Amino acid sequence: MAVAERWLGDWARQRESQLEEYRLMFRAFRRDRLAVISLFIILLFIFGAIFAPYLTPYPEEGAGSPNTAQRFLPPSWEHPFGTEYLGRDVLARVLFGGRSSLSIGFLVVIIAVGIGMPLGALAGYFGGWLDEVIMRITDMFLAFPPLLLAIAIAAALGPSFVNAMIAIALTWWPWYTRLVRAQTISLRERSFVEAARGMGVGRLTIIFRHILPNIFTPVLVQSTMDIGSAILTGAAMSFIGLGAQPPTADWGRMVSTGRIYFLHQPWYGTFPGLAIFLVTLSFNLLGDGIREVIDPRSRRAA
Amino acid sequence: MRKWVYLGRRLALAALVLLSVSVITFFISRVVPSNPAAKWVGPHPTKEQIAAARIKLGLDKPLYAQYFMYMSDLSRGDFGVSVRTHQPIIKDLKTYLPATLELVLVGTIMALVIGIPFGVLSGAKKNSLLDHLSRLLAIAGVSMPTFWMGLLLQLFFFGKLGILPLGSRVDIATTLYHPVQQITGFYLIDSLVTGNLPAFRNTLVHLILPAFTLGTYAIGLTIRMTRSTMIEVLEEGYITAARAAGIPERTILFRLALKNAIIPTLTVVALSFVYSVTGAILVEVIFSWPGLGRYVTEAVLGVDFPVIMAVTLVVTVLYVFINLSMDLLQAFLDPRVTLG
Repeated sequence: MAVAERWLGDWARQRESQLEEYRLMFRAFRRDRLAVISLFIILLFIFGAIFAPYLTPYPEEGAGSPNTAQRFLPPSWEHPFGTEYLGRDVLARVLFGGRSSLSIGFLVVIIAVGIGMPLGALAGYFGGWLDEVIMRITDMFLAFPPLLLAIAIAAALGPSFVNAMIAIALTWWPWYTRLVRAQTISLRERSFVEAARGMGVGRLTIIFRHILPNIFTPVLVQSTMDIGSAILTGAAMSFIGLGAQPPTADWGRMVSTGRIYFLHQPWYGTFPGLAIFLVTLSFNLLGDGIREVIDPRSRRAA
Repeated sequence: MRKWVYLGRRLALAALVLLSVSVITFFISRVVPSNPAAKWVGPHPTKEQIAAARIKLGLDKPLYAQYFMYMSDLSRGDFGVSVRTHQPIIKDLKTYLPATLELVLVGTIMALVIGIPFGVLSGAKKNSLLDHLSRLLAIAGVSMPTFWMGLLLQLFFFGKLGILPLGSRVDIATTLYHPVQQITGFYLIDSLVTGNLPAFRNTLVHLILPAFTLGTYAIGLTIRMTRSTMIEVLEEGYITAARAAGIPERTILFRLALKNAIIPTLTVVALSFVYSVTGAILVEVIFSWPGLGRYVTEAVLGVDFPVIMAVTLVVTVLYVFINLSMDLLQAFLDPRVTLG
């Protein structure tokens, strides 16, 4: 009993210091102006994508119906980003396009974490042949050039939003397996895990209740940075023609079609490309900001 | 002794990886519900034509037999035949691979030439205006959709200024009056060794925009890496000693400090070189560059699986090879690297 009490006391103290650390992190984060602005831009884009039908006077055009009487109007008050080759309002298309482009970023990372995290924890906690098997499969996937593997898989599955997402996620999970495995190995022998083990807690419970929650922070940092690259990869896939299919609005696809008219009607390709750039940049700056707040080693180098 | 064990282990692993890569590419191409035999025959095929094509392509045999046929063809350098053009793929690869490599090499050199000075100076003058500027440049470089940046550059340098070409490797006029003799497939080298200066100049002009576009990512990476290693190196004792001895700052930065800071930078650049080979896919589409990237995207749109798999295989072999040689080089050069 005494052991359990001591352990609970330890746990409470650790919890307290953890909360204090979060408070310090939050204060440090607020001071990083670039990261705060980035977070604001990201929220703005998410808001725009969710409420797209209410924000634009042309919701039908945003959803895909053409308006051929108004083709290629340059930017004006009625059409701040101009209109495109089917006469649709480019601003409306960019707002609607955020839905597929942003969600592919989030979903890819969620799937990749969902596959990579449990595998990494199993490999790291159990070691032995299980570790060997999981890590060799991981190595195999990492041996492929990522974009090309995603293209090959998506081409095999057929062009669609869901297939592009699956293809990118399949090239992404090994990085999380590596990260989580390394973290798990470092936590495996810590006293709170040993205490849990001593109390007869099952091995899977230890992994999912005691180890994984403690790995949450580094995984969060990594995934914030990754959402930006996943959006960029998703845009590249749909630029090639392997992402969301028309009439669904999609930023990569818009740049790809806009390319044909770029020299004379540059607005069509410019604004969706700018959206990709701004969102990716914001995620990278936000990830950088979070990492500097959490990891003292990179704070020194900054 | 340990080094040789390590070498053997790495080589064995690389061989295993290549084998599994061939299995994976083969099976991805076979589980596809598309119908390669129908594609082979062309539009409006009859049932008999498709059946004949299935036999001709070996599609009637069991999967493992098809795999062994595929591998024995590969070992003879036979990548099969494009189902769209009926051309042997190896013939296409011979012209497209050098085109891509030339683009990627020039892009990487650009990244080093631009990225290292920026990285050194911003590492030396932490938090100066130049430092903030080059940090922003670095992070913008890795966030930029290359295909979009290529378009903007085309709009400005071709559309507005009219000083650089829109795309392709050389002008039509140059191919007519000063054709590049194919020796290595690298136009810069081929035109130079044959003394074909007009073609050399024309190739160089055509390389500027696509190589720079491709290099943006590597420029960002080079700046970030050089900056952070410079900051670490500049804190070391021998730099303080050199400063105390009155050695000029420029010599300290670009000779003494850079020498130690450059190893991690080069590693990252080598990795980004491989990344660029895949990045070239998008750049080649934008600049109508007749390389592997355009080849594979056309194959994707035409559901030409033998071509997709051949390109995947070739680029993966390249990827594995460069990764392996960088790891080995580092292990043999840098005594601090532990071999495991």
